[in-house]
Amino acid sequence: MKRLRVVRVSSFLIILSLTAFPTEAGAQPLPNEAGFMAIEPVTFYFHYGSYFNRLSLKSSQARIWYSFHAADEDRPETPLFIFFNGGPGSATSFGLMSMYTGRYTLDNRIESGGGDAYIINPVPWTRLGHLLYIDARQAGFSYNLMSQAQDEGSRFQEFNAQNFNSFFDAADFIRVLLRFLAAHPALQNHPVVIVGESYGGVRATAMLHVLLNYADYKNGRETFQDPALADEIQAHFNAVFPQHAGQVVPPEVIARQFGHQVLIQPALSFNYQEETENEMLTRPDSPLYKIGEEVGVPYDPGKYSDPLAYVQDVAGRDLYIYTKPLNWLNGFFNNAGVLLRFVQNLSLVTGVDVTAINGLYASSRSAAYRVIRADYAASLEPVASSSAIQALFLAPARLEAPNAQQEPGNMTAVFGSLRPWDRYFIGSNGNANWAFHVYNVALVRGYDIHSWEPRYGRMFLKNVAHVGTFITNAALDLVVYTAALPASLAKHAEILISAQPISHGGEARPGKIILNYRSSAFSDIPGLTTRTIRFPIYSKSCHSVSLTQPTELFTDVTDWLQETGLMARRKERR
Amino acid sequence: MHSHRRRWASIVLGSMAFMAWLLFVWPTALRAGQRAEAGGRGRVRLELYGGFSLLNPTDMNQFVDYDRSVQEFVYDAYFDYLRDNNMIQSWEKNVEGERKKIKNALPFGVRFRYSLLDFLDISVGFQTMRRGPSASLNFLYTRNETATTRYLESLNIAPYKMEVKAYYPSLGVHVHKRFGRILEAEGFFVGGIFFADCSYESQWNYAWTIQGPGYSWEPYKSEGLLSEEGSGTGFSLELGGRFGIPVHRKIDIFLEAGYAYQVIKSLSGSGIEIHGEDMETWEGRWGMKSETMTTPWGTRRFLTPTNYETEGTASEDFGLNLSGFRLRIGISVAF
Repeated sequence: MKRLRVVRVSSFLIILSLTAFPTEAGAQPLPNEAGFMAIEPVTFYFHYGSYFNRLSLKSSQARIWYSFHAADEDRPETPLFIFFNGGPGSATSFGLMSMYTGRYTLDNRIESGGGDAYIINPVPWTRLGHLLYIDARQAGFSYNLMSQAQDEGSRFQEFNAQNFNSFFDAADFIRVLLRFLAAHPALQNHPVVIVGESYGGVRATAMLHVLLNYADYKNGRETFQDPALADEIQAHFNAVFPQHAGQVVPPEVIARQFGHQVLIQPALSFNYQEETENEMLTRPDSPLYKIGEEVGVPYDPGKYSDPLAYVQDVAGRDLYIYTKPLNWLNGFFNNAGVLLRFVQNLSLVTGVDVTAINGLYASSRSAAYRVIRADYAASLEPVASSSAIQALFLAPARLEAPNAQQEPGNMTAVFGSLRPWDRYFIGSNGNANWAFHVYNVALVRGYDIHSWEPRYGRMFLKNVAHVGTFITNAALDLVVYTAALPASLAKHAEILISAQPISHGGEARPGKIILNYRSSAFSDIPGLTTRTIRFPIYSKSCHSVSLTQPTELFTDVTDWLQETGLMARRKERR
Repeated sequence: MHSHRRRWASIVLGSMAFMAWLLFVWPTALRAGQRAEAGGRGRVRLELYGGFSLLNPTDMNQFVDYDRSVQEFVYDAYFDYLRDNNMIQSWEKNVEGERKKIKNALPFGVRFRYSLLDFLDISVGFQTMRRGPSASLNFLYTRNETATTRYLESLNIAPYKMEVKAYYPSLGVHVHKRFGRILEAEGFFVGGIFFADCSYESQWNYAWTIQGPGYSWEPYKSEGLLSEEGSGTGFSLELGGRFGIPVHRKIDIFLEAGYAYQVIKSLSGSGIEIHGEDMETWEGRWGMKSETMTTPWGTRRFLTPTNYETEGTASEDFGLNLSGFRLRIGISVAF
């Protein structure tokens, strides 16, 4: 195995480097910050209209990892970008935080299994605003706490709907975001840009839907009910929109703060996306024929009923970037996961001295747990599932399992030895992921909350009525085949008349999707007719667009934010 | 709070009426009776009786219909949907026990009566009536997810219990006629204030188990309790007749039957719901709440009695109707 280079930078040099970031004249940067946000046990429920037949659940206490990177320049209108990856159960730390958004980034120049060091990012998004990275519950550095952590049976029951479902997952992120803003009054009313990748599309959709329609998540109108969250959102809006204090704030007002989303290869209405993708990949213009020619095993839809299984199992290509060999992208994630377990690297990337973070020390996490079985690798035994699930969820977890089993790095030396069921870092927590998809009592009891469900597509289309939206269209990604996105959105015929992709051929920048709404689409949004989604194509990109075409993505997002008026046009930035 | 005030007002008014009866009517009747006794015709009697009441408290019994139909919808209809859409291979259920409705009660009473005339008695009495059918229910649903994997969902409800209790002081008029030496027939009309309590309790536990080749896991289990109570005040009117047979110089036994109208239109009380470690309690007026469940496998409307947040949301009033036929046997002792 290739030896990974560890960037050895002392804490002193880190602090020096922080003060050395370029700032514009007169602007004092806020300090960077990293640590854990405590989330208390929360009681919430799902219902289908019956109070007495609801599924009431109570989550466990969590410490959610966040890393705040202050903008190069702080002005009142400087946006706060909140970043997250997907999975569900995958870490943002080894994803977007490590892939050409922060000041330091994994090096993308290594062609095979690359990314063996952190380098200075030539296109840091700190030029655009403040950055807040959050690891989902039990992913990355985040961990849960429980009183019976030593009991395997109890840990097994923890990985279920009370901690893992798409709505409560979104609620976690909203809680962390609002509490972070409340703790930083100078930022509390800044515009927020939500940046989600992959399953992060579902998370962004659920977050925005909850934020824009928060009263319905307490008054019984929505299937998911989290009264404490609705109260917390109201308290935030009381502070940000004092003219509406104590009242239900209308979505068009809320969108003044939560009015932008950047979605990188997102799952949005994934069942429809998968249906459309399978149909498109069997057409004569499918890229699979070209793959067949290259590998010498011709693609035949009649012979290979599952197109993704053909690419992965027969052609041996990476579904995240079909021009590369299997696990090419996961190699980057894995390497980032290894590097981040070195204290000096984590300090470098986060911009803080992480040895000052109490929640990392073994002595502070005796009640922590991360995995069901101490033998984590053995708990990810092969399970029959579709190629998409294998690629999205199980393959990354299995690839990472050896590192999760025997953690590399120097965290044990610095922070102490953890209990056998605890881990410092898990990039893709297979136990958490499986709780979203299989071991989930809400799904078993018939609640249509799985991330595949069309409800998220409907929610997304409603959000777009209020929220400016940017979606990447990576040409080489087959896991989220965004070429299929317009047609899959159009399947919501009860909402849309059409979803029309606009491109100019080649590196179509700016590509767009024009959504034509039915007049009856949403009774509470009168006059809704058309919305435009920015949809530029990235012809060389894999699933993680920020890794493979970072400059193009940065430029497009900058242009889009300027077009939408969130950022002032300033030539000196170009 | 309002319902409590109403209840106490009813008790005070009822007590005042009772005292008026004792102070004015009863002495007058007693004097008339003494005159009659002097003529060898009348006497004071103490009567004890018990028996059987036919009941159909439909709003209360709606608990059973609601719980049964909701369970069929969220389990049976859901599994049919999964099977019909090829999401599972098959399913089956095993049921032990049955939810029981309230259909009857056991009344018990005591009354003092006094003969005013040869054919006319008056009475003052107190009756009570109670019924609390309890059941233990075990449901086991088996979903065959694949040829080798199945989900077991067990729902055990014990106790599943409803109870009604009523107690009512009453005043009566009795017209009787003796036939021959041993048989006496009587018609009576009894009325008074009617107090009643009702309650519902369902204590449950649920477990979901996954079984496959060589393994059996329990990813989720939970338990809880729902209990609601109510009480209210109304009026009782009963019309009936009876036959009596003397078994001793001063003792008769009698068999009486009648129809009682006993309805309470407003009840209030407390409620408690426990789910795992969480508990919620409330106070409220009882009502019939309409719920529409909209699910991927269909939409269905249900009507449930409850005292939980009914103000402004109840679609219908809740009434506790304990009217019905009564059959009693008793003993009458003369003094």
